[in-house]
Amino acid sequence: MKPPVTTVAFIGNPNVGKSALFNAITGAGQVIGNWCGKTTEACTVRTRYNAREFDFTDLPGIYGFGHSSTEELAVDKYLHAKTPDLIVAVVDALNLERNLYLVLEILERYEKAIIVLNKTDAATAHGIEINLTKLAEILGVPVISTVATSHNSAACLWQTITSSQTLWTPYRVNYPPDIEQAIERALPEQYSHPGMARWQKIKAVEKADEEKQTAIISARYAAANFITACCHHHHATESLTDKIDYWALHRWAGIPIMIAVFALLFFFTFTVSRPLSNLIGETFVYFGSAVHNIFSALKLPYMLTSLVADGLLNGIGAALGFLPQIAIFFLIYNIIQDSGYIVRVAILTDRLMSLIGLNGKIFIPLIAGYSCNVNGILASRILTSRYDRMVAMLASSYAPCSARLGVMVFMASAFFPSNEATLVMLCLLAISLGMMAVIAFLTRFFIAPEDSAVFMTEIPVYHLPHWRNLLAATLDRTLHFLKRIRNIIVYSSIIMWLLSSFPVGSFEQTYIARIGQIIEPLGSLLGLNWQLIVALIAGIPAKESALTTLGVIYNAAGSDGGLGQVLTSHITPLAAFTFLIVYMTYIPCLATVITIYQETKNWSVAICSVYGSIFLSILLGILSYNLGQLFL
Amino acid sequence: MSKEFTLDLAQDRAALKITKLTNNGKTRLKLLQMGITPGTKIEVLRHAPLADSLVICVRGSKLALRRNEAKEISVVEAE
Repeated sequence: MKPPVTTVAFIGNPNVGKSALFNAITGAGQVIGNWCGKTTEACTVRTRYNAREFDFTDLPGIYGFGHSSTEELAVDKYLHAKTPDLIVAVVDALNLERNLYLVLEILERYEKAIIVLNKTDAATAHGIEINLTKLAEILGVPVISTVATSHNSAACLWQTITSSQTLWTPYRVNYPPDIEQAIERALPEQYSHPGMARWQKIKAVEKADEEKQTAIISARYAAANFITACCHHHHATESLTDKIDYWALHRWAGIPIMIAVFALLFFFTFTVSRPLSNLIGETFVYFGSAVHNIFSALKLPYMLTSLVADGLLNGIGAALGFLPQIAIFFLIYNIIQDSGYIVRVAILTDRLMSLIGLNGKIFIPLIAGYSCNVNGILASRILTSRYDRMVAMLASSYAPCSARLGVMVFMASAFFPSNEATLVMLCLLAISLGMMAVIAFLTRFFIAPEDSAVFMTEIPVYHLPHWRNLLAATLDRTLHFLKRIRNIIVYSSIIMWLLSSFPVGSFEQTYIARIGQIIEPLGSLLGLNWQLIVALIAGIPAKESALTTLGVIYNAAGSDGGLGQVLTSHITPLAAFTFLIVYMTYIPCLATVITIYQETKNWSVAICSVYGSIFLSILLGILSYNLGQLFL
Repeated sequence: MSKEFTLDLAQDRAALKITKLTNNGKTRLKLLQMGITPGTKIEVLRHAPLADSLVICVRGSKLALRRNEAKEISVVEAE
């Protein structure tokens, strides 16, 4: 007979390195299946080790069992559905006392728990010594120490999990007499099912009375404090973290330093990625002309050649052009995140974000959106509350990404003298910020913001990110992006090619031009002619196509003044300004929309973001055009 | 026994003892779970820029709190 599958659940505070350890141990066995949903929910991996099967589940990080956050609810839901055979409680050696609180709550519920003391290397560096034997003796369960990134840790944990000689005598917290009485009484009076376990009674008392809840939690912390005092020794020194934070969270220097860090992030992203993007673009243009030459030499029909070269290769080239931006951005971003600076950014920007009813944690995905909207949406994963995540995903697509900024800067400098052009750009950026605030406000009608009022954040010590983790995380994001968009890019480039190549003849007769002409009456409310509308449509798959399309329509190559001069002779500055506003805010590019879907697994959110932004952009366009006419 | 005041009024580097929490519901539970229980000694490390949040050290861990969260925590000077 086949032995039953052993279920093992990983529980721990946020940021204790739980997921890294989880990956190390599941990777050390033979993975035979995984059921991983979104990062904020439970992730289960089935592994075979020494002919036994294990289901490992990584649960979201929590500070205690309760209902005070989304993560706690998710953990509660999982544990309620089935009792794991074994708990692996991951503990941060740098914050032993606070982590022990959760351990004591786990031991109150489950007999079989293994305590994994993680980050012991960092703890030693901070002058913290923990006596493992003593800790195991008091807690009455196995305690092992690990460094999450090392291979030995996984082997050691496997050995402890599969060991059959463990004696389980978990530590029990003693509550004050009045609380013990309340716990005893909890059964007959408040609940009428006789099989209720002690921990369920304790929870019942906690829920019913806030004073008693305080006493219960205080008693657990008193025990945690006692245990810590027994086996923990700290040689107090001013740590490097304190020294860095003196400046990073400095009253005056903190914000300028943060701005400098982000300026560097964007500077590197753009300076390194732009040549690479251009190289990819040029390679595909070269491929395109090669296809033209080869196909015509083979006497293949022109339409086929054009489909492959102008449709497919063109579209794929544009999509691959995103890759350097995503890869380089995330490489640097991961350094900021893994080092722990990201928490400081949340603290520094909290005041600013609370002005629009959000908290500092959301600042990071929003700022990431300025490099590429896809980055903003992927970075929203760090947010745990549903409302925050939704706002971050929807709002970050209003950040003019580098592709859009390129077009905007080109148009602004073509239509306005340099002083005014700067003003126009600043005005557009202000509008994009305003739109984010509007999105934050509107989202509130659909999802109740849970505890955006509670900001309290743990401040981790700084540490040097491991290059292997950095590369793995960056590669993961980049490959994911590629995998997600490959089909859609092929379809959309074929569709755009069909629309702009048929019926054969002059551009005014093509389907895309006709669509533009049909929408022109609506466009006239905004001062947009059909040519500008067609440019907007062409920008849907990839925003930078808008400019090249305008070039095709106005036949810029055939005139001598270049695109800028051609455009100014056909379009008024006011119409150009309105076009820029609409261009900046209307429908996120296709890759962004797909990413929104992939991250939410919900088409209605993606579709809402499309319709919502079209509607808002038309509204803004009408406003800008009509106000402009009044004042200019 | 020194005078009780709320944590948002504390100075940098002040050593304090928590006397009570005046908020309720989820915020209260979260504060308690993070180790901010009555009787605990804490130290105010610094006020962050724009003075909206303050960084405290509690039970060997560092936490950042908003001013309005700190308003609901009563403290006295620790002896």
